[in-house]
Amino acid sequence: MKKTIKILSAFLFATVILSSCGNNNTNVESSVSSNKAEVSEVTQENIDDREVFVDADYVKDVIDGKKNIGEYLIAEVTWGEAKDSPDYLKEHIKGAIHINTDSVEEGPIWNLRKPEELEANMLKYGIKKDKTIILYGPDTGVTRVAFAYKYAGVDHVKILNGGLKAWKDKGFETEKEEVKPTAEEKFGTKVPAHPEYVLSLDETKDKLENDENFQLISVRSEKEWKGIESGYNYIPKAGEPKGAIWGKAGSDSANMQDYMNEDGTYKSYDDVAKMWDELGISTEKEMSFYCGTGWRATLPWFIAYQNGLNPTVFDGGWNEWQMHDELPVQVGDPKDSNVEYTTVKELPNDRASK
Amino acid sequence: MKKRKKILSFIEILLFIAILVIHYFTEHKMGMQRYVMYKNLAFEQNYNLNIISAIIIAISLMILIKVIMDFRRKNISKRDFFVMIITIGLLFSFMIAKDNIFKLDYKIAIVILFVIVILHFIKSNIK
Repeated sequence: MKKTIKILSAFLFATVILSSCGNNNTNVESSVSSNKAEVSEVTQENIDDREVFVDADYVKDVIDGKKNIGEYLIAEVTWGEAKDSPDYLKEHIKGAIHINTDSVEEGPIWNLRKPEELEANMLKYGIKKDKTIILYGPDTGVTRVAFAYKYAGVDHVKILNGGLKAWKDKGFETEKEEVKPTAEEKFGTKVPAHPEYVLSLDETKDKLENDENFQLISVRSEKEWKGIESGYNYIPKAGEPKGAIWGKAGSDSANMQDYMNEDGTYKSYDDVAKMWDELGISTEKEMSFYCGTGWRATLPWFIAYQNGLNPTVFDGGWNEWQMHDELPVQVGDPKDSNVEYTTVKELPNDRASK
Repeated sequence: MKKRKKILSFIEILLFIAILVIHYFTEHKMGMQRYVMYKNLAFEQNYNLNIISAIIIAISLMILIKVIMDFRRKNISKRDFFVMIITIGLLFSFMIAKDNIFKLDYKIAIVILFVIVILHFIKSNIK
């Protein structure tokens, strides 16, 4: 019996020791190194808040000091840490840090983080209101993060049009060593400085019911729009909020061909506005974009924003909508005779994408 | 009998590997991480986790006591005994520490480890 008690005691001790060996996972590297912007002799120019998309020459001139935009930060944006990026540790723009998309959003709805979390994560990356942030990335994670920074209150957010490919096509220098961010202490304004850029679920529902000037625009693939599949392996139901209109997107939830040129650059406002016109979307009315979880919707938001419009993003998108049983849903294109109107509760749970 | 034992050992090894593979992809792939989060949420909504935890702990403790007694009576091999102790130790560690060990996929790890405990108990009783 004594031997049994000894073995049991040893087992319990081992269990407690193993349990205490936890790992503290943090989304953002807090270690910093000195990475201050170089002082340019060129006179600082006024930066247009609304000019978001910039080309590789613009970024090169900033780095070379030929264009003085004051303090700036260049960053590649992808999901995960730097080591999870498809290319950051292989090659990135010289001096660029890596930003994790999870630093601006969190599950299970994947809405933007609480203001205090968003601010803390931005400060760890060295982001503040009056620093120009130049972002690039392989997908709409870059527009998602750029949107979060505009919402938070960063005055000047730029997106390298065409991403790393556009940079390399010009023959500009890349490097592979990870650049650690230099943290900032104060953001410089209350976060969010622009809450008006985002619509909540309740606001969206209310506007759909009561505002004739309101357009809820689905930035999703045809299969998602028609309710054939949800577009995500973690969203079980397929459909659209009742009253939504289609703004197109791409072949699936990871692609945006309808808003992008073949060379990876974003389509011009004129091209996009023409497409919207053909789809029955009016730029004269209020425009609110949404998608599955808030990435794709931010690209047309920026295209519209850069051209003087004041759109919003319904942040929760289809993911949040399909979590509420009572909400009205349309399955199929309302222009087609076979469209069905129902509620989330009645939708089957087998429409997750593989 | 030996063939049955070998098949069960093979399944146990595959399940251990599955825990590590799921953990790797949960940490490094966005789609997998979000899928695991969604499954966690669905699991919490559909099942009473307290009751499931109590059942897992009760069954594991009964198996542990039986294995210790069998070991003292020399009814099971040293190897089977230590594999069982380590597996139940890991299972209890995940149940106590929860998201301190595997941040998101600890529930999946607990379920798979419990299946391994059951399989190993069956295996160690095959004469």
